[in-house]
Amino acid sequence: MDQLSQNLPGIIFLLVIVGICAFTAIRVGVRFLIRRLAGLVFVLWGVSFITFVLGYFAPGNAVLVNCNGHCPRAQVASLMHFYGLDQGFWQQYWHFLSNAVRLDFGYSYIDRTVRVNDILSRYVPVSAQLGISGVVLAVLVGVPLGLYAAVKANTAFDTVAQTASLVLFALPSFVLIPFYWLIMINLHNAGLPSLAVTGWDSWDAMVGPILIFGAGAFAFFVRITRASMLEVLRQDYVRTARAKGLQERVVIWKHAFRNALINVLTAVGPALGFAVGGVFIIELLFNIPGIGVYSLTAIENRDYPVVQATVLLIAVFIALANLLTDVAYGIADPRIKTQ
Amino acid sequence: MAEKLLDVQHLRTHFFTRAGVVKAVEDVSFYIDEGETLGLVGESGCGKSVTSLSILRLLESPPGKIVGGKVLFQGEDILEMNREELNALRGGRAAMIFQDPMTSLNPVYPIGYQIAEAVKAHLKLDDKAAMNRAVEMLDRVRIPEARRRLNHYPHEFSGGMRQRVMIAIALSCNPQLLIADEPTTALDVTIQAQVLDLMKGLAQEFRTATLLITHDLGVVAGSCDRVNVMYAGRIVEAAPTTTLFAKPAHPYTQALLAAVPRSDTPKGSRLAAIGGQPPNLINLAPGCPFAPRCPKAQARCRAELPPLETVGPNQQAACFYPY
Repeated sequence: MDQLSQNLPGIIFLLVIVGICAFTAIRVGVRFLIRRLAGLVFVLWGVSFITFVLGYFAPGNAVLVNCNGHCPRAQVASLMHFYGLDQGFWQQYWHFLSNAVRLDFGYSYIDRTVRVNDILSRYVPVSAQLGISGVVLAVLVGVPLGLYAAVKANTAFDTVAQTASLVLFALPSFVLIPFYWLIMINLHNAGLPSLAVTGWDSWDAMVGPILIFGAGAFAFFVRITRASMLEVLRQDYVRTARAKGLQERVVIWKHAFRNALINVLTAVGPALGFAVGGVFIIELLFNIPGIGVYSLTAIENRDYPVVQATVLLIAVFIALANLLTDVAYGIADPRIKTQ
Repeated sequence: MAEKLLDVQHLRTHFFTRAGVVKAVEDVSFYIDEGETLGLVGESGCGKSVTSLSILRLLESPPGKIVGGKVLFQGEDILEMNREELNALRGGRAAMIFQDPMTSLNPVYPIGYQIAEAVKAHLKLDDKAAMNRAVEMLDRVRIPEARRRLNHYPHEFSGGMRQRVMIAIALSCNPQLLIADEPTTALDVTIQAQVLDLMKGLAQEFRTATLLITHDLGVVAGSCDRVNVMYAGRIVEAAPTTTLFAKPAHPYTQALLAAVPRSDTPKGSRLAAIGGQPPNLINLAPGCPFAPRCPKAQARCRAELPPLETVGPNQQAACFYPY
């Protein structure tokens, strides 16, 4: 029972992947799925090799980290043996790879009693919460706003939406965050209701980071949806839909938006990858205990197992996001299936 | 005389562009009786398509805008209709087919859905009845295995087949008027004839009046009862088809007919062409717009705009020196 709860995130993760695969196979075809999964495996192998090589050749190792280079000879030998650093390159690589396949990344260099997996399961959910809520919010608000801006092209609404999204797109989060702090602190000082400006332990602390993280993605989705809709609205088939006497609502949502969505979807995958970097900065400035901040510390401390695990995790995430994008693309556009 | 089905009066449609106001349609009047086929011919850019789009108010606005005139459909002015009345008319009593079948169907919906959608909007049928109607229409436009093809997407059809689907959509609600804007221009010649025959046959069967827009005089000769010739946004000649071909009144019509290659033209001889270019519709000089290219032009033609006047039985032309 205890073991089950410990492995629960991993089990859920695997179930999600299996679910995605099954869905893809049914909707887009088995061959497509096999091709993409093979590509995925290759990408992961490449990333894991690079991270391993970097860890192997980078200066410093577990021993230096543990005792600042002043360990007794016997302790050095025992530590080297514990982390497998006394083996040759290929042996170490084989060890790393075979463990990584079993999702085991060994022990932290900082503390040999702490498993890297425990670190991940403590810090990753926080980052995931921040990242996913930010992107979901950005899509839910940005896409309809972009759509409406396109329908109302060249009106005051469109101009305001475009200007606002351009400003948000251009402003990095580390510029937005001080503004947020300024507003909250002034509200607080004036005795008005305000939100927490740091941490991640209550809902009011979460609002600021999520909004600021979502701002960039929001602006991105407004702009891409608007551009895509404008192009689609000029298409002949939209005119055909109008010529059939369909209501404007149906013309916009069923005939135009469904086609515009195809372009928007292709942009979601890269946007998610782009978002990973954004999470790091937000965590740092808001003092959020996420994997971004932790991995930065790990780099400073030369805690290579943690760095390797994090890099692999990000690679998996981005590869999966792109796979999901392709699946969604295959569902949205019937022309993909038969090609 | 019975009421005209469609009566376009002094229609004016302009495009407001950065370069200036393009007077694409200027003072165009014509009518169509029930069940009849009217051809609207002219070269590219003369305002044929803009006229047809203006009738159902399908122009993109901005930049296009109908700035004057009336479009009476069974006595009601389409230009005065509210959105609801307009939607009931479009696809219901008056339907339209467009030039390019490759882009006129929505790529993400099966064709059965796209036909049934129009049927449901106008005939108030349920899903199943609408789909049955879609099968019936596909049968009538002679698409083989209609029921199986309902769930196919537009990209699984050829250009000619897609235009048949467009015809099926257009005729699915028994419209009284069918506007066909160069329906065969994008198709290759053998398919053109098939699609035209099909359209003609179905229009007769459904007793649908047709406004056939084309630049192909051969198409006009084979399908139209009457013809209107457009030039530079205006109608320059209107006549029954036989009269127009036998006795063209306007020099432009004469030049157009002379430019049609004939099977009895001696081999190796040069094809006739109209010298010069159509005028720029932004800054039209006063006088007859065809005057600069007209072999018969006199001083008066360059100073005054000739009105469309009766020049013979059922024949009208906008020329001071007809025939």
